[in-house]
Amino acid sequence: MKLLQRSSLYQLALAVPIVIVGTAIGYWLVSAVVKEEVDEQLTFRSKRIAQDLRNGKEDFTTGASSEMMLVVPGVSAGTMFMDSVMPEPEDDGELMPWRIGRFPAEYADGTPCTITVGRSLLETEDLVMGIAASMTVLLLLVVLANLLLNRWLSRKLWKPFHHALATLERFRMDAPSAGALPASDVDEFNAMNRTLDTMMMKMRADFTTQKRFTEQAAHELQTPLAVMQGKLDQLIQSPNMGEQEAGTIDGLFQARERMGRTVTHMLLLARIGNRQFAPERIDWSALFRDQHAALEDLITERGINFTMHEEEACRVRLHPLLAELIVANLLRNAVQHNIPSGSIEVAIHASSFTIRNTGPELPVDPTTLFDRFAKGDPSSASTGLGLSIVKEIADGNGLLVSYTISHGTHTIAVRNG
Amino acid sequence: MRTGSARYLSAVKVLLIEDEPELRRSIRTYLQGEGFVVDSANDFPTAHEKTTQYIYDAVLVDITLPKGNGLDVVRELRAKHPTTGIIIISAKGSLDDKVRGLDLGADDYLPKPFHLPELVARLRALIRRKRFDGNTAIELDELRIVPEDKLVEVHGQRVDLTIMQFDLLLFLVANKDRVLSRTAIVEHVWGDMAERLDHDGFLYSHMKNLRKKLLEKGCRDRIQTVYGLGYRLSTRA
Repeated sequence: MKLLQRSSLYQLALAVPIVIVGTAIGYWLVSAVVKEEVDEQLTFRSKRIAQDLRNGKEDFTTGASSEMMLVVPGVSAGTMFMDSVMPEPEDDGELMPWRIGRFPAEYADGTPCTITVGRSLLETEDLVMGIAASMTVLLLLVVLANLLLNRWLSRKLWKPFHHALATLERFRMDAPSAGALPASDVDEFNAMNRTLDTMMMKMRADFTTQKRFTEQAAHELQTPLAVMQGKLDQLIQSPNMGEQEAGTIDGLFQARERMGRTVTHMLLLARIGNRQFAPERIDWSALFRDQHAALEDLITERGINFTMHEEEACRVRLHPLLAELIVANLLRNAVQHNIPSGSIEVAIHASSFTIRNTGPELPVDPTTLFDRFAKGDPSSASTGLGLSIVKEIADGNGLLVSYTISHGTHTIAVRNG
Repeated sequence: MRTGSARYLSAVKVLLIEDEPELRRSIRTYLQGEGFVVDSANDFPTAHEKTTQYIYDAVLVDITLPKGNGLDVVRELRAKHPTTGIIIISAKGSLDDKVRGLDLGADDYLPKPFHLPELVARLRALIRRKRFDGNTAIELDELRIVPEDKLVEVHGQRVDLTIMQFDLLLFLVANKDRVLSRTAIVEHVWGDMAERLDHDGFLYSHMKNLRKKLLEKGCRDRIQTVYGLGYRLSTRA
């Protein structure tokens, strides 16, 4: 749930009791005021009746159906008001609310009597309801307006936050910085943006340093490896070499070769990510044919059936050298991890190409397949970097590489991302 | 082409521009053993001076040099002596260096670490292209190879080889009478950028097939297995 929705929900939860209690209080207040007003009117009327009584008037009937006045002899306890109901003759005798007041008074001759005046509350009831209803509407409007204002404000206020979030989502350590996060007029966001900027800068710097270190380390190793290789190449020309020495030297050759390959691939990986290679249109089927030709003998030797199907010219664009690297690595991978008399199928589509090959179950977790140094057999001469090179090239050029396996068939697909 | 190879190899002058002394010594000794005349320079000013004063058939140049950049040597050389073959030997095994070097006019690019037989093979191919416009056959008594036509003949009879077998043979011939390690051969045939395949056994059977094909046409058994190390193509009787 979004922060905005959550805060709106809380506001709404608070608004409901406020409206209810507010309406109740409003109703009670208005009716209290109205009642007091009616009581005052009744008191006023009773005073006039008392006046008339002193003047000797005795008949106090009124024609109005909403009013009542009655003077009966007898001593009364004192002034009192009460709510009451009376049947309404004009409305089938239905009971209607009335306010009744009793006041002690005297006839002209001094005998005590009681004045009872009443007033139908039907009209005032309508008034109270009207006022209460309008108050409720008003309250609801205020709550609604508040909610909308909050939403709008939040959107506006949280804008820097959402911007920072989007930037973080897009953040890549190996991509150049798109500039600092924009300044905001909210201190908290400014502080956050500053922290984030520093963090991203540091991460980029660390990453670059690390890559440069890999590059330098690999580079520094090249020359001694070349010296070693040169000495070994000379050494094996020695005419008087026994079988034992030959075995030892062969071991050195193998080790040197593996070391050199690992270093070359590390360097390549570090550099693919570091540099920009302008993509071009590639004739993928020609590239596959070339790489297949280079491996043809090996493919035939292992009895592997190679087929290529071009549905449409593939429009995946890449730098030619990188394209060659991808194809060479994928094809070699398909040959290396195949079974005798297996098959390799290359399919080229408009926006993707796939290499499907038979092969034994993966000894590694498929999700780590593209990881560096992921090898099925730790002792194999493979550097375990071939597929990471493919992945690195794809990542750096907006392509997607996927791996799927079903029924002993491994499929690697490269498509436009 | 014993006479032919003697004719052009005896005259091939190579300048080696490399600052690492041990590597310089190895390359120099090895190339001299192959019959090249080798001159060397260990930094940019020396390289500049030598390329200005003498004309070489081929220059092997390292990119990272003391007091300068090997790429500048390439640029200068290309402007002055367009016929000189240039091979960049660099520890900066990166794609863009390769592209840049080749753009500047280098003929080939060999990333360190490399096998000396590989250097020799490339050097010979380069000299062949530069001197004879590629129109040259390599002859070893009964064996005749025309690299540009991918043609192999024994006693004038054509031998059908696969592309890989042809590459193998050419590599062996370019380094005749030298022991070639299996790794050098494998790297030559498969390159080094992509993942390596486990193909020692495959190399063995291929070598056997190549040998068989040559023997069938009456070629002398020239391809020798050297202990557990590798192979050698012998010119000796």
